[in-house]
Amino acid sequence: MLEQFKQKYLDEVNDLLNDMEDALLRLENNPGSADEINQVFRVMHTIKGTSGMYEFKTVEKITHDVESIYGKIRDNSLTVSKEVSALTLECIDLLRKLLNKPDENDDALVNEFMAQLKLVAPSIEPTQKQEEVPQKILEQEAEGVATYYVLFTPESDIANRGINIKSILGDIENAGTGITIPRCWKETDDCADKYYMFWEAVFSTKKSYSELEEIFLFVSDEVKITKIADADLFVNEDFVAEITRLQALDDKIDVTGLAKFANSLIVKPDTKKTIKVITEASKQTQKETPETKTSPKAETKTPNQDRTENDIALAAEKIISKTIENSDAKAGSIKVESDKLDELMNLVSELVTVKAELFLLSEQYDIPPLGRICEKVDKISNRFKDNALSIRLVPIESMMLRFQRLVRDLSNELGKKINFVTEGTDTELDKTIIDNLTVPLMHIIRNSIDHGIESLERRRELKKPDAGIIKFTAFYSGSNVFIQVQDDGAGMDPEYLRQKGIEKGFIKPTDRLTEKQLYELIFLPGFSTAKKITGISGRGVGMDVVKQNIIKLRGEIEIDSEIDLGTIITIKLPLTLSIVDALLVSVENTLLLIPVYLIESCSQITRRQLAKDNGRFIYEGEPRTIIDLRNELEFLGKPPKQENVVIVKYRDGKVVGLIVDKIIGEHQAVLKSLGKYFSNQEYISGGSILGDGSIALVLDVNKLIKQMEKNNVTD
Amino acid sequence: MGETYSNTISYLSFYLNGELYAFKVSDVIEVIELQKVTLIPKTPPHILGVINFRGEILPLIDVRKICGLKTDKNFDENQSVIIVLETGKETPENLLTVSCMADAVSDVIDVKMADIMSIPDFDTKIKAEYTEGIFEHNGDYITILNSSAIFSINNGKK
Repeated sequence: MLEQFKQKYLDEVNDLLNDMEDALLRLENNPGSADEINQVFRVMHTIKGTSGMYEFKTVEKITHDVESIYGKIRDNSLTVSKEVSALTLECIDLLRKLLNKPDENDDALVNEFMAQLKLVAPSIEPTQKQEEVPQKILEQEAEGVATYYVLFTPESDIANRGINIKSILGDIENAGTGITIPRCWKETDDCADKYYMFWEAVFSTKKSYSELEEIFLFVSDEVKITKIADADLFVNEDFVAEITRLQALDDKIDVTGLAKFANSLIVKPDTKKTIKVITEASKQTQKETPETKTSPKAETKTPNQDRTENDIALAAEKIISKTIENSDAKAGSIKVESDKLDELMNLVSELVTVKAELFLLSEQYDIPPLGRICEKVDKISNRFKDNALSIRLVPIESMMLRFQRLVRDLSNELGKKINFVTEGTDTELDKTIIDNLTVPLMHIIRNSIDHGIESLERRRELKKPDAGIIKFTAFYSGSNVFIQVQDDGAGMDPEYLRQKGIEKGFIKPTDRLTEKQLYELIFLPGFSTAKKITGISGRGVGMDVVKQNIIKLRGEIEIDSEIDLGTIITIKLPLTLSIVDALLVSVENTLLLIPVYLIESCSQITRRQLAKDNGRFIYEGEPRTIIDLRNELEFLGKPPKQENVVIVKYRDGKVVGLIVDKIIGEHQAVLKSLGKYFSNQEYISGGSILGDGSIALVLDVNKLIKQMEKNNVTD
Repeated sequence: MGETYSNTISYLSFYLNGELYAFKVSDVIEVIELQKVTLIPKTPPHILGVINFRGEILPLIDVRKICGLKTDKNFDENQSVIIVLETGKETPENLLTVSCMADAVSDVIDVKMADIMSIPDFDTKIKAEYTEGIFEHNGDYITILNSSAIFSINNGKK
């Protein structure tokens, strides 16, 4: 149970950290922007609050300190210097590590971080303090809202019973909007079996009495809930003032007295006059009644103590307007588990299959009304499919943050100035593709920064502007998405690549290769082009992995480069992975699917003709290699008299012909895996179920051709 | 099912080459009629192909070939049935839904654990690693097959 909540908490914190990172990067470009500062502050505050509940003590400590710094920045008593923002970014990394991959080195990291923090902001207070008074600012509808008094008097053995006081306090804080007052027992009190502290809370909430009881089920003996009034009393200034007065007192609140006072307020017509910010009111009254502070214990410190009232009011107003804004923005979208989306996609796939079945039936029986229904079903299911697919689409924007961070960190480290320009980041791609694309793209960008953009001196020598440009572009074209990473750096030297290729034994000195082919060399495993190996790139792993990843996504990658002008890396990707337009063909009664995007053309062929042309197929005036699928896939039986050839393209626009028995037609194939049993299957990448229930196999053309090439070499 | 009574286990018995074999009922999802089998090129002989089981593509395995039983020349393939099983439940990563051919299914039998005898260490009929024991039912001796061992993916890789 707890684990489940913890996962939710981790997800939430990770999201928050992403938001914050984004805000910070914006802040760097626009220092002093109040919105961004507020956002950082808010994120730190939220994480601090929830971390306490889940026992992430260090996280709580760090966030508290960083929050304090941003509190100061917000009051203009500190400015966002380069150090502060660098440190905050570091803080994000540290928090991510602490939460996601904790290990024994963490303490050292935290200490180091805290030490650095002290250097930046020596004035912030040490963290060990009493329970801070949660002062929440929220407006609430008056309907069904009641105000409660909760007295929490833990027994001294509470910790032994495995109950975390903090989480109870968190529960109280979450139960409603109001105030929690920590108290110490007085000597005169009967508190022999009690914990040395107790807490009083007054809050308004929509929750019913029994709902509150349920929240404190495990500590029902130690929590006393009293309803004060059937209204949100916090909207009333007088009540807030009274509470603040009582808070400052050393004595336990007299509940009956408070209830009486409250009810006397309710009859007044002006109770629901304004929404007041508690912090502000409490501040005022605290100042007005300094003499009531008889004991230093009552002087619970609030983190905002050193701020002026005006600031608080302003800040509070901002927070309120911001929260409202945020909730508005978030109302338009909901979070859905990706499993559910997968399930939806599966259902859509099944629908597409059933639709095909229905069409088959309608063709067989030729009932006019059925035909009309089929058309309707077709329309709706197509829209449904497009819609479901679009849900899974995620804008490329979602990856950009990481790239921006990478460019920032790496360029600082290498002492290079780089402008990272993005275009078309609203282009959307299937989530699976995005997830699998981030790492390869990181690698490409890293290469551009490290190898592409020259050092400052070199750039000046070449009379290039100091700041290098890395341009990230994404755009649609047909059913594909193109992503380009372009830099205005050194470019790649084909001659250097050739030398390197020869040196490493990838090519022979006699080989004649085009520039494109030479660039392709960097995709070979173990081919590192970096003249100097840095910690960042150039270890010879990388570009080959990049290429493999792109191919796995049914994509293509291409390099274009010009010495001293720069390099363009272009990645072509399909919009989605689960449905593919394919040509249905048959070989010896087995149905095969060939993706349409690979097909150049189709035509008929006879064995006699083939023999005449020396076993090759003439296409566009040139003889082309023929792959006889019947032989290659080891089908027994005699070929039919009239066969067909499907011309498919592969690397560099080269084509080969595939001989099949029959061409049946186009088919929108919903791809299904053949399962683990066939994971090492060489030529078949999956299956698809046709309308009549039979299975067609998806031919992996690239693998097939690669295998043929290999066989050719060994022959 | 029967396993809730700790001392009995339910088995589904079926015929291969006129002899009786059995899988645990808890591993069996369904027994279906023979249907169109799609051949997968370049696969080992014991993989007969794939079938469409309610929209899911499942491999169809020939148990005879794995266990080294000879195919009976007289048997009529069109009379066969397909048993759909879920194996490797012990470890989630080995969980696998597969199907296999049988000449016919016979019966569901509750067997007392105590009545299950072990197979001789080496058996000329069937490799010991593919069996879990043997029991007697109405005068027939029925060999219990170990579905996890028979359908393990490594068999597919050979």
